[in-house]
Order: sequence, then structure tokens, then C-alpha cells
Amino acid sequence: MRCFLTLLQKEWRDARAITLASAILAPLALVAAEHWFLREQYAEFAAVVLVPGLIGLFAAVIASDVIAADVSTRRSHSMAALPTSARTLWLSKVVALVALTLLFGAWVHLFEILHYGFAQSWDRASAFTAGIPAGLTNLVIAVPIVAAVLLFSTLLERGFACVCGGVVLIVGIAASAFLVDWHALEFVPTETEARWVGVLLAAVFLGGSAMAFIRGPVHVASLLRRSVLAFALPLAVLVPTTVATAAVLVERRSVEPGDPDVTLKLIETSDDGEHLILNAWRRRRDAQHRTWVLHVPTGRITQLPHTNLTLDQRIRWTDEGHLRMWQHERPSRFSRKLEPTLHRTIDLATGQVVRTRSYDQVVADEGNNPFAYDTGWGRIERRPEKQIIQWHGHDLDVEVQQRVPVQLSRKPGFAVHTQSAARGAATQVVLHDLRAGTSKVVVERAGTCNTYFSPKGEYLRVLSSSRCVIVRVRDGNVAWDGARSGCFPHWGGGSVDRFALLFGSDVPTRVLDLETGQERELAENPNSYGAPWDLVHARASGEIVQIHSDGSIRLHESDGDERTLYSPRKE
Amino acid sequence: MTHDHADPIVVRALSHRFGRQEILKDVDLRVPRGSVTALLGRNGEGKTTLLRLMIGWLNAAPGHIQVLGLDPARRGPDVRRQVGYVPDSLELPKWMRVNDWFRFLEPFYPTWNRSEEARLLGALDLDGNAKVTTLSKGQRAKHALIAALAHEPQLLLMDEPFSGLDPIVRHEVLSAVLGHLKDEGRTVVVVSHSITDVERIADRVVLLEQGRVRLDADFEDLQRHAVRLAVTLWDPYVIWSPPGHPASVRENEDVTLTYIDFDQRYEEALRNDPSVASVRRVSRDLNDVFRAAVANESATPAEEEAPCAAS
Repeated sequence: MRCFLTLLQKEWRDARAITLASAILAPLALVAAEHWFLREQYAEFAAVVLVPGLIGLFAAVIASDVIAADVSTRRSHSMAALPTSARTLWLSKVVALVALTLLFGAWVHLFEILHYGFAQSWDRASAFTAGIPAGLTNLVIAVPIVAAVLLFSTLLERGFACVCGGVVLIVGIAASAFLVDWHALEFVPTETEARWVGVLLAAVFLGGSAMAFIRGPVHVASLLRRSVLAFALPLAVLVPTTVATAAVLVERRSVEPGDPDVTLKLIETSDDGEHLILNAWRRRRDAQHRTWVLHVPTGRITQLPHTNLTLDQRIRWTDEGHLRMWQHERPSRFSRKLEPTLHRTIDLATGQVVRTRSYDQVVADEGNNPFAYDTGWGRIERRPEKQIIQWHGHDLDVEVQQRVPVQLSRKPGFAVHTQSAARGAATQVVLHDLRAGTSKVVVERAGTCNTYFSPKGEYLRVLSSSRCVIVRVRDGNVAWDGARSGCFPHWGGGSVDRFALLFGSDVPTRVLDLETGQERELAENPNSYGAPWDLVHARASGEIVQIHSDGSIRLHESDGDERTLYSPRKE
Repeated sequence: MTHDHADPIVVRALSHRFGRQEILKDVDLRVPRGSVTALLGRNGEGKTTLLRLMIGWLNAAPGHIQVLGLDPARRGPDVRRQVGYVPDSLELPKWMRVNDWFRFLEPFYPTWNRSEEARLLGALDLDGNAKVTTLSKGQRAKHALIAALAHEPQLLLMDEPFSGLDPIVRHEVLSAVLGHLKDEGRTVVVVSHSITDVERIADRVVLLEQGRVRLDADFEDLQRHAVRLAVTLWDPYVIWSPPGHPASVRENEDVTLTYIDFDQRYEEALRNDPSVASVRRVSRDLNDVFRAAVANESATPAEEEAPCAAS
């Protein structure tokens, strides 16, 4: 212990001049910065940014010299002959670095408190004190930098080069971390996690410094030593951690049929009822998903080759019965939002992509189809005789006083909007047949309401404050009329118009056959992984498909029989 | 066998390399207790490396090394605690004074003797309050020597302690310190590239060349068996080679032969050689002997490199 204290004393004497100089210059710098730049305000800013910055700078300066100076002046030769281990010598330098930094930090904080208290006001001193915890948290950022500088101080012999090396290394690592598409990897580190990574890096650099620290000079060609150690160590840090991280993340994001911790969402049922389209993703992960196609008769699941496929909500199916989907990607590495980039047409029988179109091509395709537009605002155009709604090149021959939303059915050629016959009159829901050029008021006295077309546009749901009416689009007749408070019909994500789900409260409890008006009870399903309408679909033939909480997919037939189409492996 | 009675330094089949360069090759060496051994060789022959291996500064690769009964690679601090080591140059922090260095070292050596420190300071005429930055090269050598001796080690290892010192300082150190050590029966190993530095104190000589021990001999035996002959040939242009492969220097008809392991038959053969006009013994110094030890071929005086020449 006496020997260690002697070594510490020697380190203190070595750094005494620079410590004392820093202890004088730092307060001067703070006073100047606060006077000229902060205008004697923002005491908390000084505690959070300025003081931690100065402490970090001081620590980096000491770290840059603590080992390199001994080597460059050949004092390391004299230390090498001491009857003590190299590890003890190294430890004395690190402890001295920490102790001097603590001492300097305490002094700078004390100075600031006294400075604010006596020269300005004790309120500002209190504000400064309040900022100290945040400042100390910020100081954690300096820890890996100082550790990296210490590492370079062990490898190089010039203090300035050590500081440069340490800063470049940390900036490089930070830049690499910044360039990683963390969202795509489904792992976005929190600030706390990032700080822990910084601490971990600091530990690695300290370990590297301890390993590189040897007795006296190094008997390897200087250039070789510098290049090998300066590049190999960061690589030794980065490569295994990157590979390990990638392995973990790949494992976390990969989804295969049968995986036990996969959450499923029913997104579509084919017209012929042969196929169910499902989205699958790891439980508690929602950034990336895969699409599975379940062949109902055989229970066989095919995983589509691309990630982040979503249904083309405008036209889900081609005339050939192929599924239309958008593939989503992030426009840039730093974007949090997914955007559709490629349009895939998929043959369900094989699971293969049969056609790929770019976003621009699809937009051009739709531009040539005047009935392919989605919901949009109509534009009021003043004509000499009256005001009409013009909507994507079509004149809706309706006199209006205000802009109203016009919704186009997926069944081509139908649009709906609300109107009032006169100022203060009751609201009507008007259905337009754009091809025939006819209009029909389908719901009178609708009040404040919203309209919603069934997936294929066969039906129109009008939801007013008191009632819920389902209108058959082809003839404008009411197919179902019920009180708003009783239940709430919705087609969910499925595309079979004939069957609507009736929601009692949060979950669907019955299935409504709009052709016959009959209702059927749904099997109870406590599954909470996903929205309720993503867990149950009706097939065109009337069977109900449900995803249960154990991840199984079951088919409930009209006669009450139940068949399991798919079940995952047990965890 | 305890190390009290054993040779303080035992080296067997020791090799060491830095990268691709093999510095020491299969070195065998024993340093007897109480001896003063001169470890000689040209620059880069591995003398300093061998010394650093002895104190555990460097770790040996293949081979065995034992100092005072300890393995320096494993018990380096223990070895260094018992050994006095004088580096080739002592570089210290600028803020230190001569005595600061002693006070710094004192806790590391339980046997530190302040009276011995004071005695040596007086004997070597060094001011304890002088700042290390003001010391001349000679004074720094004395400073290092006192630091190595103040804890009264049984084994003193000196790495070129006289390098760059003027003859007066060298004489001062030799007479005031090393003679004293020899009298006390302590073991000393002195690394040098000059035999004249150590000829007055060394009783054993080890010559390292290209990482190998080329010569390990008792100093007196070496002097006894080393003979220098001046030979005159009849014909200055005749192609002629002497018996016994001595080191030779030829200038026309005059040839100087230096044998390190002389045999009387060589002289007889020379006298009977028809090419030889005359043979006579001449005085030789130690440098001649070491030239002979390392040189196998004749060389002109201008080309001749003196591996152990006086500095």
C-alpha cells in the first residue's frame, strides 16, 4: 500500500502543474463564457453543459499524458526497474486520473456555486445546483472518450495524438451507431442503454490500455505497433460486438411458420375461401413482419419472401385472383416511417411474386383508371348556374354550400357524400352511380354521420348518432337497420362483404349475414394479441376463421363443427 | 540447493526475439557468486535484452533463467527487490531532486539503507538537493548507481554504466564503488561494448555475438592464452595462411596474428614455414584479444571494425 501511495504521489507531482493551471483557467473560462455568451443567465446550462465539458476536457488532457509522457521522455525505463508489477504501475496512473478528475470537478462545481451565490444571487446558485445531476449524467458521455484517450496514451507517445485518436475513435463508433438502421433491426436503444454502451466501451478501452501497458518501451517497430494496436483494438471491439448484435437481432426478427412466440393477424380471406393471408411477427415486436399464406384445405403455410408487405387497400385482388400487396421500406436510414416502394402481385398457389411495379408505375396505372381513387375531398366549382362538386375530373351534379368529403366505393363507379337540401335542413346521404350519372338519397335525416363502404363496395354503412344503417349499393335499398347503441357492424380486415361482424362492445360477438339478415354467435376468443377484427374473418362460404390466444387458427363451420387449421409449436 | 550457495545467475538455452528478429539464440550462462562479469558485445547483440530478461523486465520465450534462485518471468518484483539495476540512462521527472528519487524508491526496498545512501553520495560527490535536470551525464550515472546500491543488493546489474562518461568520472566510479563491491564479495554483471571499461574490475568475460555466447572465459585465463605474433613474410605478394585460424592483419609482408587459445605448435609451424622470414611475440591488449575472438578473417586496418574497441 505504501508503494502504491508513493506511485500515486509521483503521478500527482507529474500532473500538478497542469492541474493547478486548469484549476485557475477553468473558472476564468467559465466566468468569461457566462458573461459574454450566457449573459449571466442560464445557470442550469452551465451545470448541465459547460462544467461537464470542462471536466471531460481536463480528464482527457490528463489521460493523454499520464502514460504517453513517461514513454516519450523515457521515464518509463526508470519505472520499469521498480520492484512492482506493471499492473500496479498502470493502476496507479488510472487511480490518479480518476482522483485528479474528481478533485478538479469538485473544485469547478464549488467555484460555480460560490460564484453564482456571491457575484449574482443564491437563486442562480440553486439553479446551478439543480442542474448538477443532469450534468453528471452528461459527464457519462465523456467517460468512453477519456478511456479511449487513455488507451491511445498507452499506444502512442504524443499527448495531442492521443486526444485526437480517442476522439476520432469515439466519433467513429458513434457515427457507426448512428448509421445503423436500428428501426429495421427492431431495436432502438434508449438513452440509458446508450449510456451503458458508453460505459461498456470505456471498460473495453480501459482493459485494452491495461493489456497494452507493458514495462518500459515496446520492442516492436513503432509504425507496426501503432497501426496494429490502434486499428486492431477498435476492430476487436467492434467486429465481435457487431456480429453478436447482428446474430441476436437476426434471431429476434426472423419468423418462421411454427415459431411459438409469433403473433398472427388475419388480413385477408380469398374470394374462393381457399387462402387466408396473415401477418406474422415476433411477439412484442411490431417493426417488421412477414406475410404468410395459409391454404385452408391442407393447412399448409407459405411464407412470402419479402418483409413488410401490406395489402393494397384499393385493389386487393387482380382479375386472375392474384393478391396485390405493397412492400414498405424506409425512405432513408434515419426515417422512422415506412413508405410503400414496390408493388407486388403474388400468386397464392405458389407464393411467388408474379409482378413487381414501382410506386410511380402504380400511380400512373391508377391515374388511367378514373374510378380507382380513394377517399378524397371534393372541390367546389362555381358554375354560372350553381355550385357543384368536382371530384377527380367528375362533376357530381349536386348543389352544395360547403366542401364535403366524397367517398368512392371500391366497387368501381360509386361515390357517396352527405348534403343538406337547404341551409339548416337535415343531412341526407347521397349515393352516386358515376357511370350511370344517377344519384339517390339513401338515408334521410342522417344528422352527423359517417359513411363506410364494405371491403368490395357492395354495401355502405351509415353510422349516425342514433342509428346504424347498411345500404346495398347496387340498388340503394337498406339491408340492415339497427340502433347504434345495440351493436356495431364492421367488416374488419376481411374482404367478404356478405358477412359483417357485430361488435357488442370491444369484441365481435356475432356474425351478420347481409343477404339473409341472419345472425350467428361467434365462439368466445380471449386472444388479446391484436385488434379484435384482425382475429376473426368470415369466408365467402360462411365459415368463420379465428386466431386464438395460443396462436392456433381454427375454422368454425356453419353447423358448429370446429377444425384447427394451424397451431404453433409449444414453447 | 538454496540460492545462497548457488550461482546467482543461471541461464540455460535461452532465446528471445522481437518480432522476426531473433535477439538471443540458445544462450547458456552461469555467473558465479562474488564474480564481476563483463557482458560484452557490439550494439544490438542482445546484451541489454539479456539483462532485462534477468530482472523480469522482459519475459523470456524458450529457455530457462534463474536469478538469485527465482524465475524473473514469474517473480519479477521479488527479483528486482533483491537486485541493484543501473540502467544505461536514468530519466526522471523534471520536478525531482536527487534525494526525491531516493525517497521515491525507499518504500519499494525494505533493505534501503540511508547511511549507505549518504556514504555513496559523499563518495561520489553528488549533491542530494540538486535538481535532476541540472545533473551532467556523469552525475546522472552516479545517481543511478547510488539508487541501485543503497538497498545493498547482493547482485548488481549494470547496463553500460560508463557509456559516454569521461575517463575521470569512470575512474571515480570504479575506484569508489565497484572495487568496494568486489571486496565485499557481491556479484556484479556489467554490460559494456568496451573491454577497456571493465578490464580493471572484471574477472570473467562473456562475449555475445549475433545473439550467441561466443566466449565465456575467466579473464586471467583469457589473458594467459591470448598471444600476439608479428610475422614477416619473404614475399609481400605471396598467398599465405597461418595455422590455427588466428585473427590476422596484413600489410604487405608484415602480418600480425592474434590467437585467443594459443598453442606452442602454431609458433613452431610458423618458424618452419618457408614463406616466413621471422616470427616474434608482441605485446597485446584486451581489444586485440576480442578482435581475435570475433574476427575469423583477415582485414585491413582501415576496414577493420573493432567490436570491442576502446571508446
